[in-house]
Amino acid sequence: MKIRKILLYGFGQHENLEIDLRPGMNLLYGPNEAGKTTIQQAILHILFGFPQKNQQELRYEPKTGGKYGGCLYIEDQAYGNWMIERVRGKSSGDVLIRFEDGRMAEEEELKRLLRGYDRQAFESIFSFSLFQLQDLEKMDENDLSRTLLASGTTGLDTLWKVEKKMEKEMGGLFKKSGKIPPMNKKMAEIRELEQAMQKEQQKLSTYEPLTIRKQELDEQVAALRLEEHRLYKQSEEQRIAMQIVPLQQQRNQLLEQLSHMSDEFPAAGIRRYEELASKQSELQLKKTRLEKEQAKWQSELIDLRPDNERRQLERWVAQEAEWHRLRTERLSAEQEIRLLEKKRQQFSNRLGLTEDQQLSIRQIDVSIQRERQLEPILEEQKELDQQQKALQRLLAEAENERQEAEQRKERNDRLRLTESERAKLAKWPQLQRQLAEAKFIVSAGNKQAPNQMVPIVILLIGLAIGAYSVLQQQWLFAGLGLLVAGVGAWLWKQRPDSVADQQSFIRNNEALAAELEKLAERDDRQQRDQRQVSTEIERLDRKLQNYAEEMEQLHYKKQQAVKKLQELVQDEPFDLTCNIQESFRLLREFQDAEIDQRTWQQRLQTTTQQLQSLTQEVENMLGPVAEESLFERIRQELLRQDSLQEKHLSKQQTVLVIREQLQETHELLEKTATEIQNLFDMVGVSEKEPFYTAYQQDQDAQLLKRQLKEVEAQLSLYSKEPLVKEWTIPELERQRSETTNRLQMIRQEVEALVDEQVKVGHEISQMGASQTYSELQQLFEVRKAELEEMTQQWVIRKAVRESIRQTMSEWKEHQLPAVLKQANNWFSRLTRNRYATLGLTVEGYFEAITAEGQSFMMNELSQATKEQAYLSLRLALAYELVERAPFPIIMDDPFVHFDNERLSRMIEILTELQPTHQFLYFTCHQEMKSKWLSEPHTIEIGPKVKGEIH
Amino acid sequence: MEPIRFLHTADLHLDSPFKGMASAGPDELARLQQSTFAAFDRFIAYAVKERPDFIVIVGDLYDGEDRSLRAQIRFQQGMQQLQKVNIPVYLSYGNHDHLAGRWTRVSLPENVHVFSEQVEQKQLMIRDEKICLHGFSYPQRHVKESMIRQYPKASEGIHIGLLHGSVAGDAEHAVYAPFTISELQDKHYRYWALGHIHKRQVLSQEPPIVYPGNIQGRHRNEQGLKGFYDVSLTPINDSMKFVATSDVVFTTLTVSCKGIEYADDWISACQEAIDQLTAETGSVVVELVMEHTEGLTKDLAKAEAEWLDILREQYEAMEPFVWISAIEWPKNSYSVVPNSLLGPVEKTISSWETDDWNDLVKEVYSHKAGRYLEALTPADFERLKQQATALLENEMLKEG
Repeated sequence: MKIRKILLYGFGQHENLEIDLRPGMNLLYGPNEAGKTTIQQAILHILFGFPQKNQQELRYEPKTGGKYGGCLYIEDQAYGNWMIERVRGKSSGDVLIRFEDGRMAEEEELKRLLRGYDRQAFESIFSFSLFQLQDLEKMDENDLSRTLLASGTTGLDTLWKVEKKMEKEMGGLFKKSGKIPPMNKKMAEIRELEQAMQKEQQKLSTYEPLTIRKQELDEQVAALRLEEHRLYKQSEEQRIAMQIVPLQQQRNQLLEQLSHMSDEFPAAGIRRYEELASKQSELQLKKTRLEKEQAKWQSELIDLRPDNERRQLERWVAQEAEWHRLRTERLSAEQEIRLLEKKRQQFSNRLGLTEDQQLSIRQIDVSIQRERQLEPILEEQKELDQQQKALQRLLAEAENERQEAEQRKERNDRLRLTESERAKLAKWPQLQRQLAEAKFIVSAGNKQAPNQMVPIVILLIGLAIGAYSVLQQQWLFAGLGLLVAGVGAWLWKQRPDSVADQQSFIRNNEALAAELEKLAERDDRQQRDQRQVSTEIERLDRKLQNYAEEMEQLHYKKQQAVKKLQELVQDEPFDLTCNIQESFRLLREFQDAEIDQRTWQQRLQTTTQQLQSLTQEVENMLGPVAEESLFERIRQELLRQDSLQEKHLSKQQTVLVIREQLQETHELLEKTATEIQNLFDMVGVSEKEPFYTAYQQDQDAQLLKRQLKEVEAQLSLYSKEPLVKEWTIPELERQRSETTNRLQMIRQEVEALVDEQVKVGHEISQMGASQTYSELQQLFEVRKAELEEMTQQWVIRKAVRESIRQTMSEWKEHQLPAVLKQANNWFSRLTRNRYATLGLTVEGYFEAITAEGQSFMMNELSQATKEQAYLSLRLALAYELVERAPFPIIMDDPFVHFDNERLSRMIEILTELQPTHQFLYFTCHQEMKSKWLSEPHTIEIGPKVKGEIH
Repeated sequence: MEPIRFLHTADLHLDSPFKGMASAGPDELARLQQSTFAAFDRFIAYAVKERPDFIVIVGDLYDGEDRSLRAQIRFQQGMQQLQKVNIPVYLSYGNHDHLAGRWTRVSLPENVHVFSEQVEQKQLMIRDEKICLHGFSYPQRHVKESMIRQYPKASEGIHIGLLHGSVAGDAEHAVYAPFTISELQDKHYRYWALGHIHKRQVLSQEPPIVYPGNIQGRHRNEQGLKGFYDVSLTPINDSMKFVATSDVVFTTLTVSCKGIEYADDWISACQEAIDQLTAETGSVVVELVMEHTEGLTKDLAKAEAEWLDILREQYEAMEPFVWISAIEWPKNSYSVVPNSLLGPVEKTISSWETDDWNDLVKEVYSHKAGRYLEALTPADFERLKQQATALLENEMLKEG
């Protein structure tokens, strides 16, 4: 088996790496970190699976995250060439195997292709580094033989495991002196069954004696049964005789007694009599009860009104509506009356009537005609009154005017000048001239003229006002005007008289001049007014005269009119004259109200009367009743009466029924009495007592007859065979007890025998039908079969165990020495016979023995020699296993410690092995390839190499 | 002329236990044990119905020397039935129910004629025809000398021989009253009614030399329908009709697992095959042989015992009765286990001789239990070797 090509898709630092290998030596050179170990690991990974993620070993998944895995092309003589590809998938990777002929295979097949080797086993022989070489140090004989036999640890372990398992299972099935293992148990069981069978068989052997016993029993029982039967018959006869003899005696006695008695008694006489008697008394009772009832019922027929009253009640009920109407009417009449009264009162109040007047008013004629008659008179009167009034007003006016004029005259008189004033005034014309002169003198240079004008203006205004006022008879204003005029005058008087003197003169006399002037003026006016007023007074006096006359005339006229009116209304109770129309209207309404009132009064009276008469009537019948509840009461009464009526009727019915029943009862009583009499007649007695005596006698006779009959009936049962012998009772009894005793004894005997018979019979039939034995037999067979099966299991397990053991020991004994021999051979060659053999100590550890016979433990050897020893062993193993495990040998620089001589010998040995073994030698020493005689196939690993990869 | 008609049966083995019924429950056992009686009842019923002129029973009526009492009583009852319809019975006892055994004898009715220890002749007249029957009963378990010489040659009348024994030189069966066919033929009987061999076979036609076989199979080696012969003899020819009586048939059934992968399909395939079988033969004790099992899931073949139990459960308390005695699986077609390991071990096993085997088993066989076990033959060793190899491979597969 050789690797022809390595193809890595992605593994560690390698990507798309392809390496072609050749049979024999392949030198894979590369500096440190070129990825040599990676390639070595790749081979192992692809063959044996990627390590689990939790394992220590590296998985070499590409850091770039690209494709992971690769494939190997294998040349295999045993199974044909194949290729294995392992890529990312499940944790150990997805594997695919394809053979040259196109067949595909999977894991299972791979196991076979790898000859059952797992990675560990493979590494322990075929793949090693310098470091791993030294693992051998710890090996002892066992490990070595294992490694050798094996197929490495796993395969061998499996065998060992199987062996152990078989051993265990054998122990689980059977132990020579055990009790618990199933086979032992089964044997015990079988033994027990065997014993049980024997027992059962013994039991069955009693079958024959039992059958004999059964026969005997049958015979005995039959004989006894015969005897029993005979005795039984005898005892039966005796029993019958025992019964018959006393019966016969009784019969005779009875016949004797009966011969003294004979009479007839009506059939069931007593019963009939008693029935009749009880019926009689029952009827009697019923009669009294009915009579009582009748009385009671009749006494209860009261409290019902006579028919006419009830009819009256019904009529009343029918009148209820009318009654209600009447009541309403009365009510409305009363209301109406009240209303009218109020109205009348109102009128009366309005008219201010006294009681008497009210009464008389009814007679007043208030006709329209009369109204018309009165009206013009009143009108006239009124008119006159008006005229009078107007005149009076005029009169008063004139009077006023006159008074006014008088007043004015008076006032005027007061304005008349006094004597002093007259004197003064007489000086006025002189002064007037003086003044004028003064003024003149002054006027040339008088510049104060305007000033002189002011008092004049004021005086004039005052005068104007006074004049106007007098004219207008405004005396107040006249006063004011005078005052103003006075001021003006005063101012005037104050004015200077002459320019110097004059001015002062002027000023001194000015006021006097104005005053004097004014006085003159006033005097004029006063005189004029006096005349004017006098004329006025005259005129007014005349006017007054006229008015008085007129007044007189009017008064007369009026008196005429009043007289006339009084004539017309003198017989009226009160005055109609004022506001005649209203009075008439009121009167009329008053009268109407009066009339209405009367009418309502009447109606009220009738209604009340009717109501009262009805109430009276009802009260007569029902007793005092409130008017309001009258009809309620009536209705109640009627209802009560109705129900009473009904009850009454039913009671009457009952009374009738009772009467009938009474009649019937009476008849029945009579009939019963007759029947009783008949019964008595039949016996020929007339009383109860003798009747009963007769009955008693008859009963006795009957009893005797019955007894006789019974006895005879009993006798007739036995009468088939007449008694053989005349027995006496005591004799019979003695005989009988004897027979019974014997019979009892025999029966007991039979019973015991039959019991046994049954038991024996049962046993026999049970035995015959018993399956126990055959069941045991069958079970015995089954257990045997089961034991057989288990034994077979045991045997094959033992066979497996034995074969494994034998094979193992065979390997150990024959093949191990062969390996050691080969290893010796190479080791001594490498060391150039320095060491003759490589052997095992008694404890099973390796030792090297020099040609001189000196022995060294492994750890006592130099580093290189130790390595050489191990290498020899490994190669010897591979050499020996070439048939079973023809794997390539993969080495990772294991020769670095070797000197040139030993190295070249090593290379010699390897070269010798090359035809049968493929080597993959990884090294970082470039000179390595020169060590070979013929240059080996060399592959350079590293960046340079990578370039060549496609 | 009406033919002489008789029934020929042998080896009733009434109440015989069934062998090799490991792990059968009480119900199954009871059912099986009933079957010898059921077969016998069928035989009697047939006779009562068909009214043959007589019946011959050639030995081994009972299974054991101890003659189950139940069996005797059942036999007695059967004979009584035949007596009622006036059918005479001629019987001899064989090696299993020889006369020396200690047992309680149950009396047989008068229509039953038993041959004594010596070869003797019994005569009867059927429709004016004289019938001579020759036979003997085994005085003890082993009769190794040839008894045939004591049989007289045929004379006048119709001669019929009853012989419980085996052909001389038969390696398979222990030799009892050995004879050769020519020896029988030399007697010039009309019919040889043989017993002892449970496999039905006609050794010769002229005259008929016949083993009717037993009436009910009792273990895996007694397969197929079992019964008796209804024989009619006329002056010109002889005719034999086989009548089946077996209540339960032991048989082997091959089930193809082609295209089956999962357990439930496998179960239904087995059931189908079994149902078909029972429809033909009635109640069976059957050994299933699986073939074409490549498609089956691996765990199915691994847990054989469980599947057997499951399958058995399907037929519990069913009628017709089905008992699956075993399931035989074909050997693994290829071994995955590397030759390097297995080869040498297997080679070791193959190298063992009978003595090696005897050494191997003596721990058990020479133990006190040994007497409950049948002695192993080279054939057994061969079988054991195969089983051991299979086990080894299986275990390696499991462990590896």
